[in-house]
Order: sequence, then C-alpha cells, then structure tokens
Amino acid sequence: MTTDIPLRSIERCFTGVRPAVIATAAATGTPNVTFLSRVHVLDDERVALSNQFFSKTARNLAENPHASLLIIDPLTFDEYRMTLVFERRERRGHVFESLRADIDAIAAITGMQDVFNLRAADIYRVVDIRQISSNPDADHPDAAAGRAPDAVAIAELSARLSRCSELGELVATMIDGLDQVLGYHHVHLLLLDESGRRLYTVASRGFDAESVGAEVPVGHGVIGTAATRGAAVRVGNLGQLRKYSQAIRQSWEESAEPSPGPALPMPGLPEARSRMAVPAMAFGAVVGALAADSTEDDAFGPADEAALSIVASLFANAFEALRAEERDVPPDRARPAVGLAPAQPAVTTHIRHFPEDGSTFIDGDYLIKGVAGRILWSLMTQYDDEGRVEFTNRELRLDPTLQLPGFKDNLESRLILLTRRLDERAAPIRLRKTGRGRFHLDVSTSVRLDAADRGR
Amino acid sequence: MFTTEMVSFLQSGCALVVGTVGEDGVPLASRGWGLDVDAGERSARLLLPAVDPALRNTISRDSRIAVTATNVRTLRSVQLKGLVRDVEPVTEADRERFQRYCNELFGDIAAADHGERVLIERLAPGDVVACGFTVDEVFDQTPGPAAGTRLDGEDP
Repeated sequence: MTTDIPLRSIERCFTGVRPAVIATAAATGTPNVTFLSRVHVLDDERVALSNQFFSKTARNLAENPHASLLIIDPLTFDEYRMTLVFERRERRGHVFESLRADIDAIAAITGMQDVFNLRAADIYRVVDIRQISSNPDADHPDAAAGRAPDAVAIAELSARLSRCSELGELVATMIDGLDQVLGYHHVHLLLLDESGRRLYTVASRGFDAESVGAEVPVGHGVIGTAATRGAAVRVGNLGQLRKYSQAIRQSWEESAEPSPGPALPMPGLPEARSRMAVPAMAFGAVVGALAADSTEDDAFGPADEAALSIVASLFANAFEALRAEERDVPPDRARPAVGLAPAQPAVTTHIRHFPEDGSTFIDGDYLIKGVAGRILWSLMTQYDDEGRVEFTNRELRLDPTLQLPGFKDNLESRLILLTRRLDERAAPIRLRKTGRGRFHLDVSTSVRLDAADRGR
Repeated sequence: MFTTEMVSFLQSGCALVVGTVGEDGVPLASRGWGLDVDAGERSARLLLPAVDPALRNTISRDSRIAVTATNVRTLRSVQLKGLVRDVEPVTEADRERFQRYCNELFGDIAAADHGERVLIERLAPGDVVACGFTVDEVFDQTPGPAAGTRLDGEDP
C-alpha cells in the first residue's frame, strides 16, 4: 500500500453512518459511480464490499479490476479517497459468512429478509489512501471521546447484582444499574418465553411508551438477531438503514414486482440511530437479551459491547440460579396461606379476560396477555370466589388453567412481568412478594370479573 | 430525454458523485458541487473542486464522465453518462449556484442524517471550476430492482 494512512486509523469511516461512493469503469472506459452502504475492513490491506444490487459495478470489475472509493469520517467529516484493486469474489467462507450475517441483520431490522440477499463478498486490495483537501477555512473538530463504561462501573453493577436474593429485586437492580451505573439511559431487558420463539420485555428504562410486556420474535430485528446468534449485534447507522430500506421498498412497489411485505415496526426509540443488543446466556443457553438505544450515530463501540455482554452474562447466571431456588421451595414453606380480603371501597374495577389468548384488560385498557394474563385471571378468580390474597408459586404451577408447559415453564419470570406491568400501570391490583415462592395480592377496590369470548 | 421534473431534481441539492477515468483506465470517484442541465442541448454544467490534481488528471476534452445525483432524504438517484466538452473557470452565476447548492445539500444532510452544519460544511471545496459535458445516457440509480434502468428511452 503506497500510503501513510493505515486502514485501522480511519475505522470510523467504515461504520456505515455516512454512505461511501464507489467508481468503476468498463473496458470501454465508461465510468460508473454509485453509493454503497458499507465498507468492511478485513485486514491492514484489504476491504470487502457486499455484492447485492451492484450489477453494473460487478460487470465493470470483470472487465477492469480497478475501483475508487470515497469514505467520510462521520465525526469530523474528513474525506478520504481509496484506490482499490479487485482481487476475488467469494461466495462461501469466513468473509462471505461475516458479510452475510451483517446483511441478514440489516434485513431482519428492516423486515426485508426476502429482499436483502448477499450474492457475493467482493474482496479488494487497497493500494492507496489519500485525504481529500477539505475547506481550508473550516476548523478541524476534535473527535468525540469514547463513553463506554469503565471497569469500575462494571464492578459496581456486578456487586449490586450479587447482593440480590430474589428475582424481582435482580430485575430491578439490573435495569436501574444499566441506567444509573453504566449510563445507558434507553434500555430493554427481555426474557425468552416458554416456546423459545419470542422474547418479552420484563423491564425497560427511558422509553415514553409503556414497553413492559412488548415482545420481539427471535430472529427479528437487532434484539431477536442477537438472541438467534448468541452473539452481540451492534448497529450504528439505523438512520441510513431506514432510508435505504424505504427506498428499496418503494422501488419494489413501483416496479409492480411482489412486495417484500409490510415493514415491521422496530422496537425501541422511534428516532434511534444506534442500537446494540447482547444475549443474556447462562449454562450454554440464551435466557434473554439486553438492548440499548441511542439517538446518536455510531453511539456504541466494542467497549460498550463488552461491558453489556459482561453484565448480561452476570444477570443471566444469577437469574437462572435464583429461578431454580424459587422453584425448589420445600412444600412446607410453600404451604398456601388463605388470607381474608379486607372490605373494599365502593369503587369497582372491571377486569375482562379473553381465555383464547390470555389477554386481560383493566377498566377497558389492555394490560397483558398469555401466561401472565392467565395468572392474573386465576388469582382474581380465587380472590373473588374465596377471598384469597396469599398465594404460592408452587400451587400456581399446578393450576391447569395457566396452560404452562411441563418443562421450563418460566412461571417466575411471568410473575415478575405481571408484577412490573401492574406497577407500571399504577393498577388497583398489585402483587407483593412475601417470601421465597410466596406472594400477596393487594386489591384496593371492588372488582367485577368478566370472562369474554371473542367468538361472540 | 429530460422532463421538467427531472431537470428540477438534478439541479436541486442532491448529493452529486462523479466517476471519471484516467488514461491508464483507473477510475476515480469525486464529488460535484452543483449541476445545471440544458435539456434541449442534452448537456450539463457541473461544478468540481478547483484543487484536486487527481481529478484534473482524469478530465479533458472527450474524456468520459458519470454523475449520480441522489436525494439524501429519499435516496432517489439518477445517473448521467456522457463526454466532457470543456473545463473552465466559474462565472458569477456558477458561484451563486455553488452557494445555493451547498446551502440546500448541507441543510438536507443535517435534517436527514444529523450532524452539525459547521462540520458538514468541511466537505465543501474552497473553490470550484466548471465542467461542461454532453449527456448521452440517463439511468435510474435508486436502490432496488429498477437500479440500472435507462430513463432516456434508449435500449441499454
């Protein structure tokens, strides 16, 4: 390489935050110039470009291996021109799989899995890099310093997690710590459901809309992709990806070819420009996921990924240990206590339940569905029929109306979800833990129960 | 070849990227800083950085040029291909067009892609020259299945 600028020294240019430009030329000498979304650095002398729609570029390279690339530093707007020589096209192997994983993640984020299809990974040797003279009157800005949590912050959150003795406390400590200790102010904490096909939000911080209970299919979006891969996914150019997918979708609609299907709403901040998700794994299995959003471009780096991965692993292992402990409460400690419901004021809360999918409404507002909805309905039915307010996890686990799977039922996770959802909504019905595997039902109004049938 | 709407699009604050080719056959990517289209003459006048030796080495009479105009908000893109006619110093009208173009482009980038305006302005060259070229082919370059389709009614 005949340049004094090492590839690694300009790695910010390769995050995809600012589109790159590639020029190629046919054997006839006719140039072609187009934007491309991202350049991948392979080593000190090579880059790879994903070949999806580059039909003209690909044809030119077959005739003339030279290419010219423009890249921009997204923080300083310094611009560089790279001279490349096409080396080879790979349709399998490590580089291809790495680029395909990137394309798959983009497709999953934008809900266009049927459209984004990596044809090949084009490998280029970099023969020259030169900075293009920019406006001499403009001041050179300082690049922003990294803001990833340091080891002290990670140790502090680790210590806080290690002091937790029950699941609800662990979840609350984790979400508070991500915000207050590590400085991630827009975070989701999700757990894998009983089927292993969906992740549901058990706690969140920094989102306007109520997000506890929100679900993400495994394999979809940044979060679902992190769970599928069992590896972190970091996207710093969500703004560009949205525009890119929107342009392709519109082009598809105008071409009257089969549409790639409706856009999937991306969970998280609607204006997010960066998103990072890491799997929470314990004992070789995915327990859930952590996700952080930012409204800044390229907000998360490798150090953020490492920090979040560490605390996600700590959380997952603590969660599994506590869950096993709560499941194994001896029968004598778990004996149900039948408390009497106190006299209630004249205000009445209407609870409507749909047995079909467990969705449950309080005074006409949706609260929750699935197993958590069935748990609430079971508790309220017993409360209404017998005046019971004390319950145990063990008796709930034996309740056939909950339709829990026989193996790994996630009951404790669902109880946390229900508890947090009721708290978040400031509902007149709350769950309060009274001991390991035991809890109390607080009801501050009269209640009217209504089991609905959607078929009627 | 050009509808009124197309001319309006090309002359707006679209990001302009330029492909040229040296005598050795090596292509070069650059940026353009304003485009004026003469639909009747099938020609255009493109503003290029005045100080870019590599670019100047690839541009001479009858050298080939490609210019892609992309709306930074929607990514709608159109590519023009043709032959360079001349490169000459800018006129006062060119300088006004350069300023108007920068204002529009940088405003769109700041709105659509974020970034401080003062930083984005670092991309602009200190001075520009004017490059006249014929427009022989027009292609849709918008990402998607129609990319590469000719828009000037000619067979590819």
